[in-house]
Amino acid sequence: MKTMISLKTCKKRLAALWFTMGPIILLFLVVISLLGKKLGNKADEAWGWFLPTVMPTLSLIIGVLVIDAIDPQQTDKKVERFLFWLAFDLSFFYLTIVILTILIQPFTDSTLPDLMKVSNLWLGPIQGLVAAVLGAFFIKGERGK
Amino acid sequence: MKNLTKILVTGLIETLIITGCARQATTEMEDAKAAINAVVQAKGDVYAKDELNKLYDDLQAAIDEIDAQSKKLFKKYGRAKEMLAKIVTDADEVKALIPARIEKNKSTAFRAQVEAETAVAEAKALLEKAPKGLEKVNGKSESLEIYRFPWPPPSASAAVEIPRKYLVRDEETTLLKDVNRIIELALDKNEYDEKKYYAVPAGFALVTRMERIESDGTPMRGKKRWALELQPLSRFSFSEYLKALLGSDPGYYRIFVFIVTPHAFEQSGAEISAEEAKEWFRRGMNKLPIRIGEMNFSNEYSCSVLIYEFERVSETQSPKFCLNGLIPGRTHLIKAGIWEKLQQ
Repeated sequence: MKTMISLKTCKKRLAALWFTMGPIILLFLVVISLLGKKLGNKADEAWGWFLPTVMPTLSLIIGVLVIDAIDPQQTDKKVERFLFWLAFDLSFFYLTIVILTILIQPFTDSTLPDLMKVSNLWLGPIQGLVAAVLGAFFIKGERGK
Repeated sequence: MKNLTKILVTGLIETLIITGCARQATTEMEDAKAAINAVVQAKGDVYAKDELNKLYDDLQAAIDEIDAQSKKLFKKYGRAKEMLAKIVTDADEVKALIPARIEKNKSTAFRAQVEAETAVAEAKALLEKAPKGLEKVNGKSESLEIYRFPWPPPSASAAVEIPRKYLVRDEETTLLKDVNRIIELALDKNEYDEKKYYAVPAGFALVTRMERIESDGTPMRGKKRWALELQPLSRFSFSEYLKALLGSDPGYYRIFVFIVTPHAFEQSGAEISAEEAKEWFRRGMNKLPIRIGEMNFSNEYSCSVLIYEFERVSETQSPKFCLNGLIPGRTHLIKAGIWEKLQQ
């Protein structure tokens, strides 16, 4: 028998994860953009890396939360626990790598914008996996009622 | 019948009036174009560029007006005709301006030519005074070219003159090579192992390698001193890490140029880039050519040190020249340890 978990709880936990780690990166980029010495005239490149890396998923989560909030006929749907943990762990792994890309830069001889460009090589595929599993997670959640 | 004729005649007259007013301004348009062409042929595209552009704009406005009217049921080309007539008048005025401008241009060009010729003559005279740079090496007949340092030197961030007493051991027999030896020793003791030499009028310029310094002029320690590019943290220290993470320590750089010459000089006002400064170190000679070294360090000679400071404003940009350095020239030499060694 498959172990099930409340979809509402899952969404809350995923939102908590993304809305804790996402704004940390956002805040850091705001600070270094304002200080100006880290990015110089390449602040646009750093933001051009950050926005497609984190914002689509944050938008998806916000969208789902808003739809849930305005839906008057909410039922407590269930999803497989395994699927939830897969989505959660992958999200955590992805966000950790995004943060590490920034934190590890002082130990490299590349500038931050250059390192961000290179990081797209591995962040792209992982982001694909995260998006796929989050999508599948919500579809599965819909069917599990 | 009489009434019918009256109506027909009146109608005919009205038609003639309407069609007369509505006649497209073809002739006026041709006149305007011809007037503009005349301006172009009188070299207006060279000597009255702005005015010619305005004429073209006015012509376009007139064409637009004609187009707008042609789409209307009751066409009125009166305004377009006025615009075209004004273009003709304006074009004639512009054409009249051109001969005077050509004359003025000729005299300016002549003055510029005279100034250029004078500058070339002066530069040639300066070059004559500078060592030729041909030197016999090891007694063989082969010759060696020495690059000339930009003269007058580009603007420096700071400058200082080394007192003569630090450079002269024996007033009678001091040669340029002796002065060079004293400077070299002071530099060697402070780890400036590599130097490059250039010719300047009746003397030489010694250029040190670009080094990274602290904001007070003290050279950085270890590998960081000579590394011009971004360096990774070699050991973990929280404060260093935080500095590197926020990019709050982008870096200051410096080059010393010792100039030994009997000639007074001023700085040229040209600002050098970090790339040009690095190029000085790549191109110069590795030692002072014998012919220059054998010159007598007479009373007219002096040794000036020009300090070229650079600041990397951000990690992603190359260092920029600081015209007004915050540190005086002498402090630079003191912080680098050179002043103390020269005194000895």
